[in-house]
Amino acid sequence: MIRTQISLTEEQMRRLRAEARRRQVPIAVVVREAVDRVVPHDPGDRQAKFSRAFAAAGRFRSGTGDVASRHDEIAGETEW
Amino acid sequence: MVSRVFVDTSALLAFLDADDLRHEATRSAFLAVADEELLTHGYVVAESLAVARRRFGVEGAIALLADLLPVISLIPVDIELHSTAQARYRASLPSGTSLVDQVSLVLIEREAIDTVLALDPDLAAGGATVLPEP
Repeated sequence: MIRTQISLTEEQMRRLRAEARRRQVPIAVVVREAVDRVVPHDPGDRQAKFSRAFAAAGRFRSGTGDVASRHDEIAGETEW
Repeated sequence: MVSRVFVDTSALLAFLDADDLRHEATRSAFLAVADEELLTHGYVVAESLAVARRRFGVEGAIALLADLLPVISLIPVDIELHSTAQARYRASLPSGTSLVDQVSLVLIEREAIDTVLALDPDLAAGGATVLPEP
């Protein structure tokens, strides 16, 4: 995380505090979400995430090949 | 226009498992929808993590959390969604449709999602196209 300092109007700060209080989250969380809405992730970021996801394809070997098709049954055998 | 694609537990697991008979088909299906908005819900995440951890170990759970889930948006299961799915689950007993699948079906219907990544053809119930093709 990068720390930064910004100036807000009293009215903006009031709204920010009210929203954070309503959702019971830190003010920083509301600010970060607002930033993501106004300045969405760039396509390069999405591409990087997909590259990472595809690097995980086939990383594991069940030895049985039926984990996906029997997942309901397997889920019942384990702790969640 | 970007369409929305629902991702089921079975697709996540087949994607990770090189031994799965549908692994390559699932990988290709993910690739085919990579430019679309991928969605799932929290019960699918919980189910996938439980199964991945059981069959692929802690590394399997971490791969889901760190590598695969970051490309999939999470839709919250609100009380209305849960209650509708729970009522359908109750009505469907003793059939084999799980509560997680019932939540998926209600969500697919509610959000008018037309494409589903899954190995389970039951998730096409709302008229959605299931990939990879059965």
